[in-house]
Amino acid sequence: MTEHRVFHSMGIPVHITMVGFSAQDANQATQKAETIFKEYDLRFSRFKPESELMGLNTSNGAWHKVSVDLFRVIKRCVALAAETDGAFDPSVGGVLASYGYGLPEHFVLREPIATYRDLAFNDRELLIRLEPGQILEPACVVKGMAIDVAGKAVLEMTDIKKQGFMINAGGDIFTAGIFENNTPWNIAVQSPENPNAIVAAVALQNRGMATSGTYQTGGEHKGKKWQHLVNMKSPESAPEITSATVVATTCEQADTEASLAILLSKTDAIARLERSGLPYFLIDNKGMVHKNAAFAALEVPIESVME
Amino acid sequence: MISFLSKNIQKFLVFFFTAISLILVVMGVSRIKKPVVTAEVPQPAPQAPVDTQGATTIAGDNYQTPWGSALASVTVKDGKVIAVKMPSIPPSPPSVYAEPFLVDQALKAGGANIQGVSGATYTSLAFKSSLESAIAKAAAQGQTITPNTTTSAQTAGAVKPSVPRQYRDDDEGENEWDD
Repeated sequence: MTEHRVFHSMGIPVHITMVGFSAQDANQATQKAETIFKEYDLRFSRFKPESELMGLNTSNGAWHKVSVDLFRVIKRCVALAAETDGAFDPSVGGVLASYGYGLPEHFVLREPIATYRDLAFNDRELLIRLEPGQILEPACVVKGMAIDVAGKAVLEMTDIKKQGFMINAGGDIFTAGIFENNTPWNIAVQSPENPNAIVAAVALQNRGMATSGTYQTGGEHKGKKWQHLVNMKSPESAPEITSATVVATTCEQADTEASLAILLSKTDAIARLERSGLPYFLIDNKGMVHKNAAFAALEVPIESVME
Repeated sequence: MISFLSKNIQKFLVFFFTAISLILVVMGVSRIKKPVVTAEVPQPAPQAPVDTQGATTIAGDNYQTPWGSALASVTVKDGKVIAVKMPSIPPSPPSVYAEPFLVDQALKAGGANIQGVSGATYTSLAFKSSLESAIAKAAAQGQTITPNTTTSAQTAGAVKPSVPRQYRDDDEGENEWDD
C-alpha cells in the first residue's frame, strides 16, 4: 500500500510518499516530519518576524546570544563562504531583502556590503555579532537539514527491507528503503527550460538528491532581473551553470553542493564536485550536460521510465 | 670481446626501449591535448602499487579542460612504464546537449514510472505531478481530495499558506489515472 501526504512549510509543498505503511503510520510519520519542518522554519526563516534568525538579523552591531543550532548553521555557512572565497556568502540576505525578497521590509542595502569576514563569533558563549546593515540567509544549508532530520525521524519507524519512503520538499528529495515491488525510487531531473520536461532520471535508494537552478526563484527589481542565488563576489555576473543536480548521503550536502555549483564558475564548480566524488549532473548556459561516471551509474534511460 | 659487445648491446637495448617508451608516452600525451570534445570516458583505476625504487616520474604539460586543469605523468623504471597518472582529468563523459523529454502528459496518463522530480526551489512539475499522482492514488483508494491551485509555478516571494492537506477517507472517487 502506498500512502501520500502533503503539507506546506518553509513556503514550499512537502510531499511524502510511503510504501508499506498503514494509513495510521503514514499519518504519524507525516506529523513527525511536519513538526520538524515547522521547528526549522520557526528557527531559521528570513520570512517570519518571530524567527530566531530574525532576532539575530536585527541585532546588528551588538553581540547576540543564539541557540547551538543557529550557531552551528551560521558557522557552517561561514566555512562554505571561506571555501568558495566568498562566492557563497550568508550575507546575501541583505541583497535579497533589498529586492523585497524576505524580511526586513523596505531594506536598503549599505555599500560596501558587509561580508562573512565581518562576522564576529564567541564560541564559548554562543554569541554572534553582525555588522550594521548585515542580514544573513542560511537557507542553502537549512532546507536540506530539515529534510534530513525529518527523514531520520521517519526512518525510525521504517523497516527499509520491506518499506520505504520519499520526502520531496520543493524538488529536494530524500529516499529511504524501497518503492513498490522492491524497486528503487525513480527520480527525474527537471529541465531548466521547460518545467513540464525532464532531462535525466536516476534510480535512488537511501540517498538525497537536490537540484539548484537560476530558473525558478527570482524576480525583477527596479527594472533589473535578479535570482535568489547570488554570487557575492561578483553579483552582476550571470551564472555559467544554469541547473545543478547533486546526489549525496544527506540532502544537506546535496542541496549545498548543488547551490554552490550555480554560484561558482563552471570550471570551479566541476573541480569542486570532482573533489567531492559525489554524483553530479550539470547543465551549462549553452545547454550542455556535464556529469560524472558516478551519476551515469545511477541513471536509468528516460525511455524506460516513460512507458 | 664478446662479453664487451653483449654488454654494449644490453646498454643499447635499455636505452632504445627507454627512448621508444618515452616517445610513445609523449605521443599519447600530445594526443590527449587535442580537442576536449574527444576527452575519453573514465580513466582506468589507479594501478596496484609497484616497486618504485629507481623509477623516474615524468610530468607532461599542464593543460586546461572545461573541467579543470589536467596534468598527466608517467613513471618509468628500467625502460618500462610502470605507472600512468592522470591526476586531474575528471571522468566526465563527453558533453551532450540536455534533451528535454516532456513528461507532464505521461505523468497525467499514469504512464510514467517516476516517483519524484528534482528541480529548483519551487517547481510546478515536482509539485503538480507528485500531487496529481497522489490525488490519483488517493482516489484509487476510495478517497477524495480537492486540490487547490496547483496550476503553475509561482515566483517565490510570497510565502505559501501553511495549510496541511491530508487525505481523509471519504466517499468513492472515480479515477482514470491509476497506474
